[in-house]
Amino acid sequence: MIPVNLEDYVAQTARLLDIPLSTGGEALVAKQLAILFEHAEAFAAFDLHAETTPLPDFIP
Amino acid sequence: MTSRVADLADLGVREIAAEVHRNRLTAEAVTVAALDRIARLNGKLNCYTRIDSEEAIAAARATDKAIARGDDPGPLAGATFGAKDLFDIAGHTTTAGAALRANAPPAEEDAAAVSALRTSGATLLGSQNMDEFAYGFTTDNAHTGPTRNPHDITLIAGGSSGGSAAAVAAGLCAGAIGTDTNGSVRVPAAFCGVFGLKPTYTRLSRRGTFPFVHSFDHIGCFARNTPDLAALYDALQVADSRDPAQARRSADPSLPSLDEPEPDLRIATLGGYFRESATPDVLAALDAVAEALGAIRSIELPETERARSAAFCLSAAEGGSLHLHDLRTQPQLYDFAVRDRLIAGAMLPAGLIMRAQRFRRWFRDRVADIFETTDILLAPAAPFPAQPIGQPTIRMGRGDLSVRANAGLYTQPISFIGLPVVVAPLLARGQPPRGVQLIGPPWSEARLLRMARRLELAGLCVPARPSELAP
Repeated sequence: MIPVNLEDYVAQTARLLDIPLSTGGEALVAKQLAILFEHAEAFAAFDLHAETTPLPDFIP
Repeated sequence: MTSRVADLADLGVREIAAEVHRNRLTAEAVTVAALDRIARLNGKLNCYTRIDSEEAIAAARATDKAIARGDDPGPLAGATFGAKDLFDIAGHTTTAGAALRANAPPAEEDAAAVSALRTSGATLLGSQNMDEFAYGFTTDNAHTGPTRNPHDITLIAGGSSGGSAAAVAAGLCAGAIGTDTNGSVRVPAAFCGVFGLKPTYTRLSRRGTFPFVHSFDHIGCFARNTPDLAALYDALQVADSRDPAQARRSADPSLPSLDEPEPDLRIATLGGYFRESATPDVLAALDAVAEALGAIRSIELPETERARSAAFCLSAAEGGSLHLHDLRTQPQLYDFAVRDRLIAGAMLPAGLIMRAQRFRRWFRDRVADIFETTDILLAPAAPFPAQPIGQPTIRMGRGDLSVRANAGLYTQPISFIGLPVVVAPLLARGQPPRGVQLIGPPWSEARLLRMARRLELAGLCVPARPSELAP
């Protein structure tokens, strides 16, 4: 799930999204993205029966 | 009623309204007293980022004139309040705590929540400090500086509605409104030792607020006692046809039933995830509340850590999406820590976001099952009490934890599924305040407020006057 080279992923995606990064910005964003991917692994690995579990409607 | 200015600033929402209605106190005198205390303490505490003195006095005089004419100025007549600086206030710029919005055009009208309180007779004093774009738990804002905790000015106030919670604790207003996406009412309420309410998702209109995460942004409020909190909540329950997301439910006033008994409630403490990372003093507070409410059962929510992770990712992704245009055009105006998290969120693959949303539905349904056999769940509001300003980490059982990222460890899984929560504060001499979450099923705000009231009447949750208020 986690891209092999996060800094490359950040640099390429920033170009695609047209987000200018400062010098060294790839590494800083990659650090934050690594945290997000680590969290994402926690729920992405959970067996949700994804084909049948619907998206939420209004939360309550 | 004393006429000493210093004492008037200590009056609560309902005390002020009662005295103003009886013509024993003017709204103007109350407002002047609050402004006087703000002038004395805001330089130290940094709760307000803008103080609307002239407008506040004019509004108070209008209330006094209404009383003199024999008109009803509203149930909150003369009560002072402040608003987190993401609520629109007509004629002023809504900064959302961001330098990027410093020159944004002024709001054309009040946010729905501000309008609701003003219509009820309350007097707005100004806008209050917050984390930039509400993305944080410290209210240590790179542009406006930190809000300091009134109980110990070396400590953070919590966030992101930290200016509001600290202002209520210090008597710089009688009540305040904030927002809570991942814990931004509940964490500062706990850290500053005041009562806080985050109602059910979509209960209150969000019109005129600067958003963070559309799918779980909530409006909330703060007060120094439960009748005041109930009074604010009741005034905020206004149907707003211009907020398409607001739930179409009639108002459910909580104040009239606040002292009604609630026998035979099934109350349980949340164990597992909600105890593993907490400091001993936080757990002691939770156990004291559990004992007072007769909660002898402990239960665990399934997969809570995954829920917190999903909330974490959805916040970054929705926030990143919201800010994409400004991240492209003016990235240099953001606090770099906020900017890098938003950019990272904008880069998360869509497939992960869809899985987070599906997991959210699954988690909501499991917790709903628990509420079939339980009425109220108890949990700490934060794993630790307020920490020193500028201290990045705290040493916990799992190692060093980031204060900024983990203060919401126990609040994020709850707002993720939109449940209503009242935070009840506990204060012990020589210790920073701690808070306990009283969590219920959707639309159970009135019951949660009654339970908080029970704790208050038992003497367990009575906010203390902060030592920083000494002359």
